[in-house]
Amino acid sequence: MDNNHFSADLRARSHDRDEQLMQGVSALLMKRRDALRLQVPVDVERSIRMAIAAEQSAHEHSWVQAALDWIKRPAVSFSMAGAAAALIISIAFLGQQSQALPSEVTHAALAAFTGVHTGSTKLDITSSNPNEISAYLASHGVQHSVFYPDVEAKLVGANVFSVNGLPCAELVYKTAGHTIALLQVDDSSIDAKRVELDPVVAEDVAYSKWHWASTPENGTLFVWKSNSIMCTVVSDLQIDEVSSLFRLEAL
Amino acid sequence: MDDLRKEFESEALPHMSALYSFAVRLTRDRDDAADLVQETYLKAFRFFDKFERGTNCKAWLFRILKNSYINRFRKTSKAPDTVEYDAIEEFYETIRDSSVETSVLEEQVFDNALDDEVAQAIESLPEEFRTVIILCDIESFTYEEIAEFIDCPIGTVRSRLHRARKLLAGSLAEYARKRGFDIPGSDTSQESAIPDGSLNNGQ
Repeated sequence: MDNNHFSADLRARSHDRDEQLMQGVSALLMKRRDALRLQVPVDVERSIRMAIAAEQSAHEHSWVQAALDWIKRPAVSFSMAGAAAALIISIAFLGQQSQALPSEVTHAALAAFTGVHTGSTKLDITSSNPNEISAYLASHGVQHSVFYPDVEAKLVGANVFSVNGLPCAELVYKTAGHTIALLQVDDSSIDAKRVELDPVVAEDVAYSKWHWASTPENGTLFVWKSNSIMCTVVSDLQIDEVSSLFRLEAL
Repeated sequence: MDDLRKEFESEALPHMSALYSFAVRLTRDRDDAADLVQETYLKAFRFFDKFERGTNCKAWLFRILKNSYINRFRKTSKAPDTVEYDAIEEFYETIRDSSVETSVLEEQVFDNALDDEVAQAIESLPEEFRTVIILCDIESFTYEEIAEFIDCPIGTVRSRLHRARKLLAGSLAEYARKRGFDIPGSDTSQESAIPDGSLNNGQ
């Protein structure tokens, strides 16, 4: 073989080997794709979801504000007065209807929290021992397994709370004078429509893992599902304070 | 929940880990990456009505992320590790031209590579090479999509990808040598070719 042929052969071999090694690198990365891809931390994901919800809320508010500005115009306001009065009556009527729905989980959780927070409802069991609490709850009709989340607050006791006749556990935590009440409902009872969950909340939990909202008293309503248990937290703490107390990665 | 938000969440949010992972490798800082991804999603949500349905939502999100990165982070991003790229390429060529069977090399260098080593080898690449290899081999974008992303001709994508893979192969071979495999052509002068790296997968 002359020098030219030898050089050409060497180049061809190098090229082939190059191709094989490059394919090897590519295959390696594709095979390790999941391991190489960093998972977004739960708190970052939550923050993004909340930012999107806030963005949507701000957008909707701007439309509401524009509509209100339009209504304030004199020519419009007079003709709208009657309609507004009718609307207020309708809202009041609907409000009364909402309060009359004892089987809806978030309403039940809000009512249960208010009782505990104001002191009008005494705890059925005062204990910080999960085993003791679980035994008490089981002996009082709670059939689902009770979930004790990792939360930086003191567990002070529990109630057996009846939602549409279904015995459900309510855990009560305290931190720095604030109350955190966690109502737990077996998801199968919601599926079976034995108890209701607001469809907006259910959709948020299904799509976004969590539903966060402020309560009328500037507290927090926080709903998520842990295995087969729908958990509803109500607290007089702000959303970010509740968020920082719960280890969301573990939920 | 509003239909648009619902559609956005089902279309865009599944790509969050891919975006975050890429953002970490761009910014080399997890807090900056989180900010970048959040900004990306907020912009994407605001302009979701402009997103052409049926096109690649992931590619659209990556473009928004890149623009946000250029606007916000690039000037202040941390300097990459100092690496002797020429030394790695020379090392790669030594291996390539050695008489060791390709299958043996692949087994020693690729099959036995640890995930952390692969992640670190990617981190050590210069940004323009790191970007194309992540987009192509990890995120499965087409050459056309990558070309649009980096605003370069497809030929540039191909050449950067080729060099990125060579550098990666060289780095992984060096890791293999350090783990005791008999990799040809290596010597102690290659020690500096592999950065210690400060960012490992999973840290």
